[in-house]
Amino acid sequence: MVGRNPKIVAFCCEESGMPAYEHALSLGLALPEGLKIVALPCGGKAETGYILEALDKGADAVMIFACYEGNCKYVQGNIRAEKRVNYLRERLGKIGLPPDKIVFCPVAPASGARFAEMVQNEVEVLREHT
Amino acid sequence: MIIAEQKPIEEILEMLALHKKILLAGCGACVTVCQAGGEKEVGVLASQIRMARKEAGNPIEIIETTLTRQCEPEFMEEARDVMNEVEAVLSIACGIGVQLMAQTFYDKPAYPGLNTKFLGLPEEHGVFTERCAACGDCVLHLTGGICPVARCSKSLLNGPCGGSQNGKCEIDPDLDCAWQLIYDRLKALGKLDNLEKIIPPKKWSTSRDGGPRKIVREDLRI
Amino acid sequence: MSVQQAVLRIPDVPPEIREISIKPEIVAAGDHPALLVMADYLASMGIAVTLLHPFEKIDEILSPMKNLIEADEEVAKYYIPIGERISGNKSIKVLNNSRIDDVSGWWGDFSVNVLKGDKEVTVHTSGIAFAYRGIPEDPVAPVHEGIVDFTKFSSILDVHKGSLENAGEPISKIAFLLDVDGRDEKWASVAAIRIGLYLKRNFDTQVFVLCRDLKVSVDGMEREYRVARESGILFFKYKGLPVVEGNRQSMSLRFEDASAVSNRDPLKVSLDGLDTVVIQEKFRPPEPQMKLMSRLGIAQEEGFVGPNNPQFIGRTSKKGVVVGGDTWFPEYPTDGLATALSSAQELYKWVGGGTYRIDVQRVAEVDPSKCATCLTCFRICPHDSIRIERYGERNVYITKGEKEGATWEAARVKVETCNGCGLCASECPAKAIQLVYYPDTEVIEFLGKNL
Repeated sequence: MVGRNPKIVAFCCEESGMPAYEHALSLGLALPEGLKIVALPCGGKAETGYILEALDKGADAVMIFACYEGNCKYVQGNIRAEKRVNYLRERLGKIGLPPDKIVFCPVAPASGARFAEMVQNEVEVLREHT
Repeated sequence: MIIAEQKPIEEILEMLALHKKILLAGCGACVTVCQAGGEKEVGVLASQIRMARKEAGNPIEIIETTLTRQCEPEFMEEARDVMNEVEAVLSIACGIGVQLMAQTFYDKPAYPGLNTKFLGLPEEHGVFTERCAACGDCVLHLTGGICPVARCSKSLLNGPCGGSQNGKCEIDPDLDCAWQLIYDRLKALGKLDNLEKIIPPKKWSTSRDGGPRKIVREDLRI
Repeated sequence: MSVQQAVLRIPDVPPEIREISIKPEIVAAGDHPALLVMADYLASMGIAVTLLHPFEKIDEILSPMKNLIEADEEVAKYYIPIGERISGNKSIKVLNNSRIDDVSGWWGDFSVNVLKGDKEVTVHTSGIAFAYRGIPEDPVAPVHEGIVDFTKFSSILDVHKGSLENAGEPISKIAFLLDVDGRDEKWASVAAIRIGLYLKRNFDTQVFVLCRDLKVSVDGMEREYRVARESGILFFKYKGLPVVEGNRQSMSLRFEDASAVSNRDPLKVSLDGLDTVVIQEKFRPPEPQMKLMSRLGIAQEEGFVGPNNPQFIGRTSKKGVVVGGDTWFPEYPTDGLATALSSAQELYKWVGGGTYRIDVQRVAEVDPSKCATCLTCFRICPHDSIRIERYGERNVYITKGEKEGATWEAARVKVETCNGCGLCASECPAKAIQLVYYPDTEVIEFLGKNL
């Protein structure tokens, strides 16, 4: 059902997620065809509503790229994002959605390779879903 | 304020099983503040229900709205037009709101999306605790401002049961012993002699035990 | 073949500029020597400084450094003139015997209630700098004079002339015991290495350093660490809790070496014949600091601004407020100096510019008709930039569609200090807040078009 090119929406914070994505592009790394990028000022702005809208409209997975713990420019945005992801996983788990459809990914700005790796990994995980 | 919590999703889905088009109505007052039924929560619950029904191969159409409050007849008019288009309403207001919905839109079923739990306040952001039992005969002036009905597991009126350990209740060790709190507060106020006054057996007839309650203010009636 | 992804970038909305004038004045408060450094720098840059300290005379602020100043020419050359410059500088108003009783407000508009002796004074100011001394707490009760903490040992070191003695007994074999209660404090590693090297070079003292984890990520410390090892100082990493035994004349420090290969064959080490053991004390935040942090809504780590978030070295999450001294985090005095100077420069950036141009598009905005005054945004804002106007200032503001004279009666974002992060918007249970430059509709539309 997921198909070869799962649709993944990546919410990327301006401080770490977006630079990591751009770094991946500049390194010429292969990124999955179904990847869509939404830039946000902070990982904490990835609202519950956005995540659900993405899944509702047909995304196979949602990934939130934010700063590592203790590094958030806005102090706690990354923590809010992670809490939200955990909360939604539990809630959607109750209606049969597998937890790996929503992923919290802490990342450093100049880590294009890590960004590409995490996204590719998610594609593999999704392909295993029947 | 009124503290409510969302019902388990399985219960909600069961209520909606035979419906294909519903209104999901939130409320802008207490349930917004306790994060169970405001506009944001309406969006989240609607998505969750839609996704569950799509998975089950039985899609449902949900119109989302949030009323100013669901406890005033005038505010019900905010939903009048849209109620004509749906089969039923899932209300995520407190029990009061669900009932007013049912009463106002007499021919459409009104389902409760929440369990209304208690009257309370946030101990810290995101942690809500019970403070008032709406007993109708307040004794807070005698107990240093701490309610023995709502906060004591046994609702004792004249001192501790003696089972507390380190200030924690013997029934629920996560709870502070209310009478310990009352003692500490009266001591800080220099009013320990209050404890010597006997509070007579409670008139439970003023609380839920006396049946449905009503207040009539002739001076306010139009 | 690579495909270009669909990307929604943060909208590049043309700025809407509002100009605000900030008066070049600050209040500096505290009891740490770094306070003088900050006040001195800012005054030299033309800022009017009101300097509050709790002592009778301003020189007393330097008392923890007194020994260091007497013993070290470089330190003296730096610190003595500061005291003199401050006393002679007309744009620094010094209030002795003073402390901050309460504070409120924001960048450009702080209200500081000062208690001078028993008189109350309210100072209105644009920015705040504060620097306090941490309160040392010993993890173990000192049994005899052979066991000391760094504060005590530094005072011995600072006054010695000729030989090195502790209460009449010569110091020849010393161990520094760090990290006993697990707190990551760099100053202790720095102090152990620097003091250890000094002892080795000048007195050929036998020096041992025990830690769980040596912290050398400070300017020049990697090199000093190598030099220390080459000079014969022995460094150990321990597991569990070391034990000190013995009497004043001769102590043994027993511990388990963490470099043992197998857990079944622990490497038990005993350092015998020690005459001095220096155990790292922990610093806890003093009351005035805790109160200020709480009143100003400043993000903190156990009462200190640092040390972990690299975004907040000296600067804080509240625009117009900076910290130095132990208030940022307990530091070795010379490292603390660098932090204090950088804090002062940061504060200058916000009070020295005269007229500032704020982009009022790059902020969040509350729709008062939807706001339930649930306080969620007020609590979550990392920059303390939201007020509930019903309980705060009663400005007359015309809300959407309301008649003249209506009051705001809801949460309100202070655009001058809002950083546009959107946390308030994402947490609001009533969906009453939007980022002006990046509303929800942008994201929802993009998702609709691309999925």
